[in-house]
Amino acid sequence: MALTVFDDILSLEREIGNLFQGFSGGAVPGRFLRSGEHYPSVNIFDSNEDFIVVAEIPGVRKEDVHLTLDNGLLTISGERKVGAMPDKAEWLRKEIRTGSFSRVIELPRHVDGDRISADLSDGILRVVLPKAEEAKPREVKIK
Amino acid sequence: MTNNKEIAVTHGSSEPVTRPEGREDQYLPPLADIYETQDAYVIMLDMPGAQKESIRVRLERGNLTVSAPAIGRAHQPGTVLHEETRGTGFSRAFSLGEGIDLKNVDAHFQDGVLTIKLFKNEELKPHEISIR
Repeated sequence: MALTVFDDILSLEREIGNLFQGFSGGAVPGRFLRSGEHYPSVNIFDSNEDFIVVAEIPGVRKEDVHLTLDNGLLTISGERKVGAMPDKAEWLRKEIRTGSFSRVIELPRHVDGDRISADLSDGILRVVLPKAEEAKPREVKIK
Repeated sequence: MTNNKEIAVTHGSSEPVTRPEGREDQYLPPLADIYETQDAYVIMLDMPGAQKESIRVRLERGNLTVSAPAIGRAHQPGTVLHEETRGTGFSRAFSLGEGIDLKNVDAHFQDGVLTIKLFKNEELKPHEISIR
């Protein structure tokens, strides 16, 4: 009997997949990561009180993530470790990237470095960087 | 100092970035790793920010479908200064060959990774034949 093989059937996926080029590092070329794209993906938000940096790092454990703030540069680095494989297991598809990663983000100047907090939940890293007092928006009363 | 920063947010109150129309509803196929063992196929899917309670795993007519609703997983209230994540929900389907025990499927979600284990039927497992 022939071995069972998995095939993607979602046409949407094919369309999306065509938009992206492969990246190195996997046994099977990944079709979903854009060429030249940084890892991990980062979003940055500005609430009135804080800057919030959000990074997608699924499969990374808390103890394998490092955050540093130096001279206005926030560095998110870490490692996605390869999970243990059972004996005699064989890869059929490899799209997920493992290994070390690093992103450097220049923050707007006025951040209160002593009050930075971060949490990691379901693969989403969220770093809250409170604005220093002088950077918060304020209303000026007209005399 | 000048070259090592990749992202620079230079203004404390930048203009919000403009997003392509319809982007909020985009479903993205999660990246997948699949390996085969002697008695099972194991599928791992990157679904950061998905909520365990709302992930759907369906086996129907030989297809395995995984989806999670769009919930703005990597978003926060406030002005968007920089945005790289794509899609807010996940959806991907696989067709399964024969020989999978559809009544014996295991799924769990940890650290944003969904792991699905599909056990093989007896006839797909390797058998040792003893010589009489």
